Amino acid sequence: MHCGRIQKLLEEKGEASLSPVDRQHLKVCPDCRLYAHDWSILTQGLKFISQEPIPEPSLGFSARLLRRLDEENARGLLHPEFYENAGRRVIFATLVLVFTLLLAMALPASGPVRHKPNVDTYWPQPEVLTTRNAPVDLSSFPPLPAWVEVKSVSDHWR
Amino acid sequence: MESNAQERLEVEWIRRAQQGDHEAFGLLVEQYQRRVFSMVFHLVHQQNEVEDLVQEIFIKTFRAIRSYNFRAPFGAWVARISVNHCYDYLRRKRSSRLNYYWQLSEESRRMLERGLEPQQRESPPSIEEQAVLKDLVKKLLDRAPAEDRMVLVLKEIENLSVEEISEVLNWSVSKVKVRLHRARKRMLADLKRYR
Repeated sequence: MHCGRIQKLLEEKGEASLSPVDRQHLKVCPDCRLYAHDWSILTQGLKFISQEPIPEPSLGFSARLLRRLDEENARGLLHPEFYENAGRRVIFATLVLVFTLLLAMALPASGPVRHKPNVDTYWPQPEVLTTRNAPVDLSSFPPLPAWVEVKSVSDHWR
Repeated sequence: MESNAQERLEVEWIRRAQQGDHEAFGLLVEQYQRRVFSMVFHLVHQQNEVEDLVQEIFIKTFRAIRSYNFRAPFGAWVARISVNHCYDYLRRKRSSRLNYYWQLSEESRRMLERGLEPQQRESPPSIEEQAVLKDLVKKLLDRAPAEDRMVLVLKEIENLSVEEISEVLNWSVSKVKVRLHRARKRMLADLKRYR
């Protein structure tokens, strides 16, 4: 626990931030001493790297860069965003089309989304033949099938 | 007062560059090239590649300049493009994790071992020791994952604050802190492996 705290302090604030007690610990603890040593190698190495002279741009760097920009502009390479946008739109439209086709194929041939079912429902109704009060000569009809029952109005309302 | 005038001038150059004015962009290049050179040099450690990379970064910057919306400082925006470009480069050219210890001379090894003694640490390192330390830390950085390298270089070499790093890398401040801690730990573990 003590070692972890000291090592964190070393890493974040450096050896100068350690209290006298921590410094004493650093002297006697081999782990913390090794940690402090490794950490100082890293920080010193990084510091020396940061002090290295940075390479200067060669003579005419900006001019060469601008010339290259001119060349790319002439070849139409500088604004690829137009082609990117157009490409993106084509891909989007294709995806919408494919999705619509897939949806059309996935839906059933009938149903609430489409239209009324094609199957006609037939409910058999009793056929009532009325002749009002006109007398009917049954003999003028062709012979009726056996299942036809002939009733008079008075019979019907009875 | 002078910095305000400079800022206004810079905004004008950016607006002109956004309309395709190469000359105005050239002025921006003059303004930021040293910073970009420094960042690229420290990130890639390949002196002969630096200029080509910087040129590619500025071309990318010009291509994207229309999308710059003045929310972040222009310098941070250019730094972000530079870091992303270097990150891609490092991932492409990722050096293999082959053993490199043989590359350290016997003298360097002895010097590092001597450094273990507490009394040696108190004295400032000589020129030779500095060279050895630089060499060792560069090798450790070369072996580190690209993200560790980015965050360590920006913090320890480019001396950016955690807030500035979060702006450049587009990470939260807490993420930068966590990654920084992890990168340091990994470097130390790598150094231990050397022993």
